Amino acid sequence: MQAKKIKALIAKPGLDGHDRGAIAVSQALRDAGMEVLYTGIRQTPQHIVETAIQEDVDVLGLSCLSGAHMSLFKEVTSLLKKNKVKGLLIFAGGIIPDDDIPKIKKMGIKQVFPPGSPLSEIVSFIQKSAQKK
Amino acid sequence: MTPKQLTQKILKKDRLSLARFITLLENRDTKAIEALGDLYPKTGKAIRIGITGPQGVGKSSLLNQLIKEVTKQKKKVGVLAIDPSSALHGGAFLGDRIRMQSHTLNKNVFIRSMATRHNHKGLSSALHDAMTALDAFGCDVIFIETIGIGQDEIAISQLTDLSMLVLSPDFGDKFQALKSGLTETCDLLVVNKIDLPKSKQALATLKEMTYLPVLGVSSKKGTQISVLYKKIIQQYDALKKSKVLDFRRTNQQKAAIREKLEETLLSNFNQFWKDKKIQLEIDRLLQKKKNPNQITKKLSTKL
Repeated sequence: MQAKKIKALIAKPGLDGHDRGAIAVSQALRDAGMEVLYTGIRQTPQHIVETAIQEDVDVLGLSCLSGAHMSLFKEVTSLLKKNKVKGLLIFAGGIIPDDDIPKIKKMGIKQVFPPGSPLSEIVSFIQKSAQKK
Repeated sequence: MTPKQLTQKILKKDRLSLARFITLLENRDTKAIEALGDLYPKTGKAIRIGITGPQGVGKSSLLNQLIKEVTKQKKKVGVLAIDPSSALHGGAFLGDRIRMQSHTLNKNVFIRSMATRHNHKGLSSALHDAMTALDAFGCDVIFIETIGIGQDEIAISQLTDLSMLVLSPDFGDKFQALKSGLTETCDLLVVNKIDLPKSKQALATLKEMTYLPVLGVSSKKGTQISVLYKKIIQQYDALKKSKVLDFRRTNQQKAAIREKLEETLLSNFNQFWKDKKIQLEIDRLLQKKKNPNQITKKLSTKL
């Protein structure tokens, strides 16, 4: 058997068009030895969930800068449940007010990385928490 | 769920199980490889098409357009898109899918990205097995997109029913087109980006230098895509009629068996290469006591 690999999907739900952060995170995960996919900007929650299914990823990172994170993240997490996707580690980043973080964590999103989070912190969080299939 | 249960669900068209099963194949899970036996008898329906060419010529974008053509006819499409793993850290950025993302919600399309994970031919060691899974899942057409190293990537034509080489109008002059390699083993030459200047010249050069059919398309504008798809199907039908397809399919299995055996040999060799004795020999090389050919000769007796 070959060594298992962590496979991650970085996704951008909603309408904002800035993906410097999402790309920087993708790059950091790649350099940490993971297999990384990026959806591109302006994805619907349906697109993101279906991509996570077809690619059978271990990790899903959601990046949102538009302010619509509460409704979009909720939609993504409930669609994942509806489709019986299990064992997926979800984290988020972007412009997210502190007050929203506890509510986001209740949706099943394990960690939120606000602007200024060191990339190494994101990498080690995933390495610690992801279940490799 | 066990691999055996996954295969049963794949036959019932369950996408989640198909995706999970391909992961196990990528990990070369022994139970999953065994369970493939249940899928193998259900294969043979899908047309397997390889797409190769240098990086940046628009293989994924062309595929994006071709998927549209196939799904117009209510057919099921499977895509396996391969991207390279890093030799330094093993990581990969799987960037093909982003060009085809608009098809994600189409229930007749299943796209899967795979990293090479140091496969010695620049494909994925799970490629042939993943095609078996997609075929049994009910795909009518399976597209394989290679990483795009270019000139000598002929392995793909041995694993597919037919393959095409995609070039851009700035591929080079007639001497480039004259070189051995890919232009001999594929079935179709496609020049993408014919919306760019000088593309007429490029097409003329290729037509002059090769025996293969040459077709110009533009993935960006959607030009000539349906003509290309018709051409592919025509070629496939001709292969089928002339029984060349049967010959090619037997050879595909043969190539897959050979590839698996080669991988076993290679992994044994990698163990051998880690042996301390090898380092001792290398040290003598540094002291200029021996030359590389002498050391090779000595080590080759121990293989």
